[in-house]
Amino acid sequence: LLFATTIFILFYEADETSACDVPIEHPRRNRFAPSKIEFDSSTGLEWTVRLFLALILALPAPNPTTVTLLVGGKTFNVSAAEAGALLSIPDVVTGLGGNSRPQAGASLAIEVAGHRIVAADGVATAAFDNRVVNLSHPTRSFSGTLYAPWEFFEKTIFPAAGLSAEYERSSAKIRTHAGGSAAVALEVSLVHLDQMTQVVFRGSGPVASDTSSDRDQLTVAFKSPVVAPFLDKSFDDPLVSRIHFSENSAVLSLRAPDLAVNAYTLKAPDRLVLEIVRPASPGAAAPAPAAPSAPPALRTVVIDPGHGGEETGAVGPANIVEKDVTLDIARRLAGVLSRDAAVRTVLTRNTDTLTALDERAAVANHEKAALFISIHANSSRAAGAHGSETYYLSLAASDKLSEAVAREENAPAGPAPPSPDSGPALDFILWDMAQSAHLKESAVLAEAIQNELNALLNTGNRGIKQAPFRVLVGATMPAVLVETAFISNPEEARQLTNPEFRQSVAEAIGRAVAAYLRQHPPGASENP
Amino acid sequence: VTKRAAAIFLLLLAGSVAAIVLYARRGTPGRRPRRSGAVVRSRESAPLKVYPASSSPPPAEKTRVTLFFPSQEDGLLRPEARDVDKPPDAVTFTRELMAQLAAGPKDEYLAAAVPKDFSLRNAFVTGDGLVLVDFNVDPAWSRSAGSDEELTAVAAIVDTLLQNLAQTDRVKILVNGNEAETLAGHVNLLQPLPALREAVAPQNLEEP
Repeated sequence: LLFATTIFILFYEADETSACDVPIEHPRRNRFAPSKIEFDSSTGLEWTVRLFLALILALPAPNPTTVTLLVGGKTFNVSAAEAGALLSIPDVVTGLGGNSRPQAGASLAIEVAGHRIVAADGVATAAFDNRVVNLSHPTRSFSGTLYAPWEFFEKTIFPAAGLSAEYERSSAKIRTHAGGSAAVALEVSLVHLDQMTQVVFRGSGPVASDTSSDRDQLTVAFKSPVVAPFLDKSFDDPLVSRIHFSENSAVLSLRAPDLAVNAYTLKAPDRLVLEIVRPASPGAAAPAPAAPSAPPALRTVVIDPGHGGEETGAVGPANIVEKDVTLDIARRLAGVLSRDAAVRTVLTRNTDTLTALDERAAVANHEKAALFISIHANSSRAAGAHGSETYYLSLAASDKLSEAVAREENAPAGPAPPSPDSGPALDFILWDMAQSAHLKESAVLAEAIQNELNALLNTGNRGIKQAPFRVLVGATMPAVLVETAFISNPEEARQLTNPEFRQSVAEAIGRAVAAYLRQHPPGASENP
Repeated sequence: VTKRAAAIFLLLLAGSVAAIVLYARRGTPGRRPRRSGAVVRSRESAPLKVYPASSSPPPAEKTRVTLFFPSQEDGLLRPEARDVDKPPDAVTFTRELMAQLAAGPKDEYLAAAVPKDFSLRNAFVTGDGLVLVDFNVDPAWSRSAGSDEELTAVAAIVDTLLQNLAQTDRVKILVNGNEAETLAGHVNLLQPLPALREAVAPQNLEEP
């Protein structure tokens, strides 16, 4: 309609103009309307037409149906919808060398450079490596293909590919540049068992790297930018003395030259694992390792007073705080065990300071402890909750490897000695599943402690329990968490303020631990 | 003649503008369709409309959900059923479930499962059985909650979600937009959690 009108206007104007060119044929008009005015009028007409044409031109251009994606000199066509406001997810993903597949719930599972992204039809959020990304507009499906607003690509797909990108709606082009901020945040944990030290770099995304060693230095060059958890840290480990981060690499200082290194990556969560071992030497050719002090004659029990520092833990009536109760009971327990069980005791904290949860289990691992006992005081929203509870670790059902390890290690026949060169046997000391191998013994220890506490508090209703408590996860020995009493229960809170009661709790736990150690002599199944 | 021509052009211009305006108005939601069939057409011609479902009032169909709250007596979780508007998608359903959980129990025998200011920032259901929920958590609560309180909160969230959301089997809890080790120093959140059945009173255990 607009086009036809324009043509008509143009045509009509041409006719009028030619008529005006022959003034003799219009004497009357010339008389009443001077040519100057006519000329002005004609200009006004032209102006009107031009204005009209400009109006037409100013109308929105037809919606672009294709947008060009420029990646590293190559171009890809990306289907667009709604005037370029929505772009086809599969098209962009394909252009970036990733893949996408539809799955249940009208959602699309996307993999780009090892990152996992999930988008769902009509939903204004997306999952990016187990994080939720908020979008101001939802995705939308057109003929079975999922389209998303630019924001989705900006927040997920391009960062995953390590690219930064701009989308010019006017020219329908997406330009990409290398070096987006796909920095991977790292956490480092270190475990030593037998002749091996395992260093685990846990990343917020895939941890791709090249590893090279030069005598007593092991360099890990990360392929993507990383956020280091620290710049320099020393370790009291028999094989690794120090880890230093610089730029995108980590340098491990080893205590002996030419140690054998086995590096591999794991997914969910993303980890780079370095297994550092002394090279197998036949006979006694190798010099005796700089022994990390002779194996202690006494067995060690590591006692972990819960919370500390700014983390008060539960707060009860009359301002009784969990962190103080746990430290006091832990000290008393250490005294009881030293007196009665002939064991060496180590506290994960002996002052009012906050220690990281993984660090607490790491202390036990480093001390080659026979047992790890975390002391807590409970609190509940249920007014009637009372009594003590003893927990050991429950595994996440999704953690298949942990389950397999748990089955194998806790089988009635008893654990098989770990062989140094079989994969799964080494896997079990990965932090997330370190405790899996000791669940059966942990349950026995928990039961022994709970029986003593039930007798003390005269509460038989709360037995041993399993829960996914973080502090127990990394312990490579039988480990339990004791909830001594409910600080939220006025009567039990009153008891917990009484030093005699706290001593009797420590005595009860001490009796159970001493009995357990008697029944489980050294070398049975615990760490050397 | 020129004046007449100008008048005609202006008329045509006005007519065209009027036609454009009328054409554009067909797609706006303010104009009531005369026939029911026009609803569909008006939706199709509104290109920037991103929530098509909201333009027509949805029938208030209800669905029954099961929430878990700790009992006042022993702290173990008990189910409480209530009817909510049938959600259009899993994320809306997740938000509704968490809002209902945060609102607290109706039964006075039950206690709140999560702290008062515990709110859902974001949620996502990945389609392979995982539910991601991201909460605003008050750091003061994180520093002072006891094991049972934390375990109950986590179990109520996880069990409520897995009980009601079809084809889900694990929940990953995020805190203030990020992956977190724990909510309050005890329960491991670095791994997605399966149903925490041990926190539920035994007589109330049933398969989701």
